[in-house]
Parts: sequence; C-alpha cells; structure tokens
Amino acid sequence: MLRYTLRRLAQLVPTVLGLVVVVYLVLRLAPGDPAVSALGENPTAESVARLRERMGLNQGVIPGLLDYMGGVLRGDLGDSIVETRSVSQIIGDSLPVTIVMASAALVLSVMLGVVLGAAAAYLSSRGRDALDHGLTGGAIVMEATPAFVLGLVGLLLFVLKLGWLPATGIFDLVDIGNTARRLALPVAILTVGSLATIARLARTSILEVLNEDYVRTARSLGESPFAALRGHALRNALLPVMTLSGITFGRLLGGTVVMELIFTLPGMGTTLLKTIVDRDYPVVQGIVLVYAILYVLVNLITDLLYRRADPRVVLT
Amino acid sequence: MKHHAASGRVARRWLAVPIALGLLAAIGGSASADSTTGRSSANYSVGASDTTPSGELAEEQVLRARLAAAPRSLDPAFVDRLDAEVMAYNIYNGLVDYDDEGAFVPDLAESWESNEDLTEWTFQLRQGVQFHNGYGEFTSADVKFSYERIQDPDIASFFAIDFENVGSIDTPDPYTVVFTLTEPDALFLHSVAHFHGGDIVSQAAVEELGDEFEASPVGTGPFFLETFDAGQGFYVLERFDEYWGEPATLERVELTVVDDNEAAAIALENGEFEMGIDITGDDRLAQLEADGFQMITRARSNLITMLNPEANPAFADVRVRHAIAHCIDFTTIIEDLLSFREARSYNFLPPTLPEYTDDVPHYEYDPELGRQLLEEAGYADGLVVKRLIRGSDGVEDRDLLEQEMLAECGITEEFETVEVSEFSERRFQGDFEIATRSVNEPNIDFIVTSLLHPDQFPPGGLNGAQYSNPEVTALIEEARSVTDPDELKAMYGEIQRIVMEDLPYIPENTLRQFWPTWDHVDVPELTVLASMDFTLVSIGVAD
Repeated sequence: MLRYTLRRLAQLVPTVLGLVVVVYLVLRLAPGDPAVSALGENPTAESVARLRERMGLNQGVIPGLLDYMGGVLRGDLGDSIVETRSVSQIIGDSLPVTIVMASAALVLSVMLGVVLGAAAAYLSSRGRDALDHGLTGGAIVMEATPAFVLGLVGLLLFVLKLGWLPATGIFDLVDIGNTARRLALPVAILTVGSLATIARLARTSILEVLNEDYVRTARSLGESPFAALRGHALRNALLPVMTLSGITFGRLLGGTVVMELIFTLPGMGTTLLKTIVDRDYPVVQGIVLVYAILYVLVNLITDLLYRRADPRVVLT
Repeated sequence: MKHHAASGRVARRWLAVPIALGLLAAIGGSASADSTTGRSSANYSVGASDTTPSGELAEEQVLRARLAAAPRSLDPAFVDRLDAEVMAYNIYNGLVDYDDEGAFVPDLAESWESNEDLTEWTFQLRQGVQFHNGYGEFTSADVKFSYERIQDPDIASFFAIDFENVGSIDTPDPYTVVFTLTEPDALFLHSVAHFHGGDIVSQAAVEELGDEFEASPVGTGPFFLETFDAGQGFYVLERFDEYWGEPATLERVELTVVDDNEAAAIALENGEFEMGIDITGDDRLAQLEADGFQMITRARSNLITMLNPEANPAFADVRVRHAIAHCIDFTTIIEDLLSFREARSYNFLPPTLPEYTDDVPHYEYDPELGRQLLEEAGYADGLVVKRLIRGSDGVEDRDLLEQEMLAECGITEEFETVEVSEFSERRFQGDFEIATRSVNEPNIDFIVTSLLHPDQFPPGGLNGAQYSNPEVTALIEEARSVTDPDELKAMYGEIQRIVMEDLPYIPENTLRQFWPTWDHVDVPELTVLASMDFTLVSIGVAD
C-alpha cells in the first residue's frame, strides 16, 4: 500500500502542474486588465502603465509562466498584485475556514446519514416503512432547497428572532466557542444538504446487504436482526458511502462559497471569487492549486480507506 | 417590529424562490410577535427603535462599523475606494482640507499664497504636529518627501497625474514649503488637499517600513491604525492622544468588512454594529429608516452615459444625442425604482462641486420631440444602439425601462453584458457604443480635462464620448491660469452650459451614499467627499 500511495502522490505533481499551466493561460488570455480594474473609474494611460509595471504584468505570457512555475516548485506562490498580503498568507488566512466548515459538514453528514440510512433500512426490512418514506421524502425536499434559502432562513430565525448567533464577527479557530457560534449555522446547512444523499445511499446499500444470503444465514443461526445489521450488513454497505464521501467533500469545498457569502466568513471560496473579479492572477492561481491538491488528496484517502474496509480491493 | 420588517425585506429579495416564502413568512410572523417583548441578549441586543438618545455619553466610546469592502492599501499613494478613504481620512492630514461647501480650509498648512501667475505656491506649516507611533514631529521635509514619492514613477502612485505640473518642491525652513509649477494652476490646492495623494506621510516611517507601510500607515490624523487584519477583514483605529486638533471623543473605531448588504443590514439591526457604512438597496434602506435608524447621507457622484460616436456614427449627430435624452423619462425611473439612493441630475458634474451650476439646458421627457429629432437626423426608420453592461450589476430594471422608452422613440437598444474586469477594460479601450461612468472627483479641472479634452480620447483617456469642441478646450486650458474666483466660476459655468448643449454625456442621476446609524450615536454630516470625521462622533447611552 505504501508503494501505491507514493505512486499516487507522485502522480499528483504532473496533475497539479498541468492544472496550474491551464489556469495561468486561461487567466492571462481572458479579457480584462487587473491594472484597469484596480484604478476604478479613473484609469488613465499613464496610471495604468505605471500600475502594470508595479504589478509585474509587463512580462510576456510565457516568461511569466516559467517564472511562476519556478516559484511554485520552490514553494513560493508569489504576492497578490492587488493587496498587501502574499498569496501564501491569503491562503493561510482563508483555508482554515473552508476546511473546518467542509470537514465538519462531511463528518456530521456521514455520521447522521449512516445512522438514519441504517435505521430506515432496518425498519423497512422489518416491514415498518414510515421512517423510510419520511427519509426519502425529506431527502428530496432537502436536495431541492437551495443552500442560500436555508442560509437566509437560518439568519432570520437564529440571528434576528432568537438572537442566539451573530451574523458577523471575527473567526478565530483558537476560540472554540467563537468558532462554534460562527460555524453552527453554515455547517448545519451544508450538513443537511449532503445528509440526504448519504442517508439514501446508505439505506439502499444496507437493504441490499440485508437481503444477501450470508445475512440470512447469520439470522438463521440465531443472530438478532440488529446484531446482523451491525455485524455484517453495515461494514459492507458502507463501501459506496465511502466513495460518495470523497465526492461529497469535493462538492462541499465548492458549496462553502454560498455560506461564506451569507455568513460573512473569510474563506477560500469568497476569496477566489473576489480575486477573479480583480484579476489578481497569483492569488487565483494559488487557490486553484490548493483546491486541486485537496481534491487529489481526498480521492487518494478515499481509495486507501476503501482498501482498508474491503480487503478484496486490490490497489494497483 | 423590526424583526418582522427585516424578514419581509429578505423575503422581497428572494421572492423568486417559492419554497422560501412559507418558511420566511412563518418566521417573520412569529418574530413580530416576539419583538413586542423586546428581545435583549447580552451580545446581540435590541433594535434601533428600542433606543432613545439620552444625551449622556456611554462609558465605552467604541464605534463598531461595517465596511463594504476590504481596503487594499492605506498608503495615500494608492488609497482608492470608499473603504480606504474613510480610514485614510482619519489617519492622515493634507496641507489643506475641504469645508462642507467644498471650499479650502487649513489643515497641516496654517496659511498659503501663490504668486500672481499661479506658478509658485508657498505654504506655512503648523508647528508641533506629531506623527503616530513616535515617528516625531511633522516638518516640511515630510511634505517634500510625500509628494515627490507620489511623483516617483517607481512608486507608480494612482495620483501621480495630480503632481504632473510640479517642477520642484523646496523647503527653505522646517515650516515652509514652496511648490514651483511648470504651468499656472488655479486649482493646485486640490492636489495637496486632504484626499488621496494629498495626504502627508512620515518620511521616517515610510523609509523604515518599506512595503509594509501600506498596512501600517503613519500619519498625523486624530486616529492611528491599531489593527490591519486583512484575513479577517477587521481594522481598528485608536484615538491618537497627541493629535494636534480637537481630540476625538471616540476611543476606538472597529471596522469589519461585510460584503453582503443583506447580512450587513441584519447585523446592524442585531446590534453588532452601530453604523453601516454605504449600505445599498432602496428597499433595505427604507426599512432601516422605518426601524428608526438615522440615515446619514450625502451625494457622492454622478452617473453619466457616454455615447461613443466612433463605435456608432449616429452619436456624432447632436440631434440623436438630444433625442436619446428626451426619450428617456429619468424622473419616473428614479421616482419609481431608485428614489432612496438616487436623485435626478441635469448636469454631467455632481452637485457637490463648488463650480457646479444648474443653469444648463434641461432635457425633459418628450418622446414626441425625440422622434422628431431622430427623423430630422435621418433615422425615421429607426436606430439600433448597443449598451455595454457590467456583469456584477446585470441588466437591471432601470435598463429595461430605458430600453422600453427608447423603443417607443424607434431606438432599439441591445444589451451586451460582460464581466466586471472586461467592462473596465472595454471602457478604457473605448470599445463600446454606450457605457456609463461615475464622476466623483473633487477637482473640476481633472473632470473637465479628462472627459472633454481631445487629448483624452481612449484608449488611455477618459473622454469616452470622444468629445472635441475647440471653444471648450480653450476654456479648460484658460481656466487654469485664472486667479479671480468669480471669473473662474463663470468660465466653468460656461463650459457646463456648452457641454450640456452638445450633450456628449447624458446625466443619469446623482448617487447618494447612506450610512444608517443607531440613534444613540451622535454623528456629524458626511464630509463633502462623503467620508466621515470620526472626531465628531460620540456614543450615547442606549436606553
């Protein structure tokens, strides 16, 4: 497994560098000039020329790309051309918000999704379909409800009406209470969005496994239905959930943007949007690079966990 | 009551989502009932309507305010948007400042004079003025350093153009500065005024801090920057106890970036802020006013429509330009859609300028006259025009109304929506038929030169209408050397009259800025440049 992991990590390098090249070229060739954007309503020829020089934009596309790639290989992502921070600082400031939010939502949605799915499957197998139907119906409603609607409803209810949570404020990971208050609503909303899909998949997989011969055999040997579920069905049924979790985490990373906007959280999604508008090339490239690495790593971790959960899986 | 209102406000915004309606209505209804008991939690307290000014000062003089965007730099060489301007206004001083009418008043210079031909300006400076953070006394060397730095091509300041005509800056003694200009400039004081590149920095601080100065500014103003946390979008100004002027009552100003106006309004209602800087949205503002917030407001800029004859030859005909102005009912559009933030404008200049005059041709809504003018211009069978629209705004109701009104005159207006950065680039290159621009500079010479002088055609210039009238050009150049204020005002009045007759730019509206504030906060009017002097703010006791 170590060889496999190392090989996958080695594959990460060309994948990420290829992406960096594509993003670099797309950004540079897209219409719009960061210097003109930065100067707002009064860009004059002279001020644009001066600012382009200061931003280091007068370099050609290819020399600029080579410079940038060299920097990336040395671990230097450069400086923002619009604000005072370096790209690494900007990513360091915004990444924790996004990662904590997406991870918390993933963990909660997997845990709750599996429990709900298992309960629905179990009850359904016992001929009691109420939870099963409720879950399926609820899942459809949740999937059809846009996150921004839930976000605004949450703001009205928990911020304005009940006054339990703030709408704004500093996000400080060290201060657990503060982090919990700031992230409670967005994480809950993200969880609700992913929970339904995971629960439905868990339910279907568990139901399938519960009808397998080996489970029936276990039951005929005297195991209780619950013990059969816990001991035999659950582990096998979790494999597709594991795959879905990897995909869900990727989706959550993107999904945090709306939550960051509504709850004014300084995460990577909103930073990426803002920097695209400003044509802050180095920051956009840096954030895309981080997103790419995260996606690849999450997929790798999913594959490794899959192998651990199912010894029949051979990693080649 | 405020809870219910806020719910309704949000609901209006998202009415398109049917599933939200039931939920919002349910929450709004129950919130309304609850608000009669006056919710008050320790952290997120009561609404503005629950408080009354008692006249007594609160023990803790801390103002918490919302910023709409993060300041990119607090170096006067690059301060460019409202967020940074508000902070810079309280951190720095210029040699002169503007009063409420836009006239010049002393700031770091106690007095000034120019020679007869306006090519030499001498300033006598205040003595004993201290820079923040122990950077010592302010002297003429700092003035020379500050402005030569703006001129330096390596710095690439946005405001180098303001000092283009400065030949030399001499400092005969620590409290005297002499500017020698390469050409007469009656409006030179704008360049050294307390705004943008006119602000004075500490030479010692800039030399010591280098690039870090952008986030660690050192000035002579009533507040110094205590925190610049770009990652959190959180900035703190602390009262500077050695300030040379009237000391501030406020001890601290905490500014937090909240991009979203809805979230900002909710946070304001929730008591997380005392002041919401530049909150936008007519419905939202009307609601805040109804909830008892003070609506601190000031006209900030004019929105003008540029008609580019290079891209559409029809615009070269003055009758077509007049026809367009007559075919759009700006008054109705503003009254029906934008009455809170915008006012009707009849001039391309904003009314905040001292040189502004209303004595210009007015183009009232008259579609019949519009059609007649088009017919005379040879467009009886119709005219097709294309408007470039900024993607962040999208096609708004006002655009659709204008399109409909123009259609009634036989003008087919097409929309081309492009992303913000492309919009700016296309406008800069002059690659549009119709596009808008906001005019908000304090220096009339800069405005008329950039918008009306033939040297300023795009690409590179701001004369997007490619306007050239030798009479106007001569007046612009002549005005720079006129010393008599009345004569100067008359000349600029003449320019405005001619230009509004030629109509290369159609005035759309005057945009007002709103800073809704809790009623227990004592606040002054916004400055003439729509900023705020925090020394005049104090926090009262909220009942």
